Amino acid sequence: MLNTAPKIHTNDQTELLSSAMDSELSEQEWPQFFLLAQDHNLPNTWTSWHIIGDTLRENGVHASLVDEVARQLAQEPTVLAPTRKRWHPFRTEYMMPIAASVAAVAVVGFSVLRMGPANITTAPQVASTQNVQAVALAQPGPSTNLPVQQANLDQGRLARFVAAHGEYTPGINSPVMDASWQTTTEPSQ
Amino acid sequence: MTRWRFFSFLLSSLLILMPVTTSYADEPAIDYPDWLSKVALAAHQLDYQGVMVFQHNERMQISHIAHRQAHGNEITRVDALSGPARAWLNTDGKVLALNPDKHQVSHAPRLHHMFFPEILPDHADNLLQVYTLRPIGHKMIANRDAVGVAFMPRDAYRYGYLLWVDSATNLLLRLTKLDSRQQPAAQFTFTQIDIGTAPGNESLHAGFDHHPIAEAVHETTLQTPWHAIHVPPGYHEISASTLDLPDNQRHVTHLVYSDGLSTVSLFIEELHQPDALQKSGLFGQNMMNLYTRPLDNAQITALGEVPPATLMMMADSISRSEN
Repeated sequence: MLNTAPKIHTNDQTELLSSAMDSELSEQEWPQFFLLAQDHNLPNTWTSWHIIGDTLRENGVHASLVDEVARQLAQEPTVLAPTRKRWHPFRTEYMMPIAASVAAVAVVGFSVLRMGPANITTAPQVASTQNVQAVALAQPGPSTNLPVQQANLDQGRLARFVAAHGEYTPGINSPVMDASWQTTTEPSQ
Repeated sequence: MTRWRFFSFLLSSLLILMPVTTSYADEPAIDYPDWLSKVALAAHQLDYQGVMVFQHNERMQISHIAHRQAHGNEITRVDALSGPARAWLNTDGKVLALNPDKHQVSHAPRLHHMFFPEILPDHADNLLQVYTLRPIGHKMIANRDAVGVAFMPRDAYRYGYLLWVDSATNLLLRLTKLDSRQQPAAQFTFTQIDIGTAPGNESLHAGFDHHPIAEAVHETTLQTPWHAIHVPPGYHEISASTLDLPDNQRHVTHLVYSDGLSTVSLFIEELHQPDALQKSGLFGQNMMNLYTRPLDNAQITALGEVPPATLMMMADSISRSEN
């Protein structure tokens, strides 16, 4: 339950805050700067975060920091399947599972055959453009075969709609969200 | 005897392997209904504070969040560390928003307002009806071991999600929204977090005490005759309200449908000037899609981070009951 992040000594805290306010923090010191709020010896945590926020905004380091964090997050691969351990087929400890896997495939295959097609869970169908078009055409509604019309969206009105929608979806009402819409398809009625 | 030993070997091997084949990973299979409930509860029942990052459209917002739970009372404070100075305080069913630059505190009822990591609904196990869950391993997030689960849509009416959950406390540490190509389109993640330490009153309330509170209620719940007749599997109406558009001098009915993760808003504007009606159109901005169409003297607008087909099905089936 306890945080495993390293703690910062009180003297270092003051120095770190001072350096941050003077825009003298190095890239290596920014993570420590964020850890300040972790130290409960700090007299007023909120004041610290207020200073941190103001410092990020006023000293123009926000862009470089954001870029750095974005770069680090981008380096993490998107994992859609578990990483499998490398294995060597001729090592003895794998011989038993290999033998068993043959039997397992047989058992599972037999079960699937007995269930029949109607009971087999289909693979997840992720929405793609083609799927969406197909589904859209299958539903009652405008056909994409109709002539394209120029749309005229009221940006102010849309911004209010997006803000109202954001009350129900985290992130949408973020200040980074704007209302500059791009038209992708314009079916007409 | 040799034949008996062979069958014993085969049987024992099968018993050893079966858990592996069902869970994909070298660990016990996750009991997803139970796990979902624990993840949904953890965000409300744990004390935590940390720095979170929201990435969207190659932009980023950094915030600090502090959450405390005591005797069933929750209080959450979020301070924006990037962008305009803002702070939000969620407590006792209402949201206070602090705008230090304008020396303003606004107040709004908390209807369904969600802050990461409070993402999953109360009955999170219902998600299993519309998403297929599968493990995607472990990784370190904010110096904590997180277990990953992919939520892949069972149909074409929603997009997928990746959830990374603290293996020790079940607190959601990272949520990645996937687009139609299963590529990350938006992400919430903690970059630093302390779980188990309750933030003090002084840090939660600071800044809110010395400003007059302005009412910022824009929505009022109502019984509306407007409803979508056809909705994709899993979606249900979670809210019906009126939305005031002050500059337009008109009321808009706002219907919200959700499957527990994906949300769709339907706006119905009853117009008195038929020439103000707009023709049908489908628009998109990254994951967010928008579909608008006229219906008699009303303009129907549907938007959400869902495929266009979802919006079109709902908006095209909007109907006004005469009861």
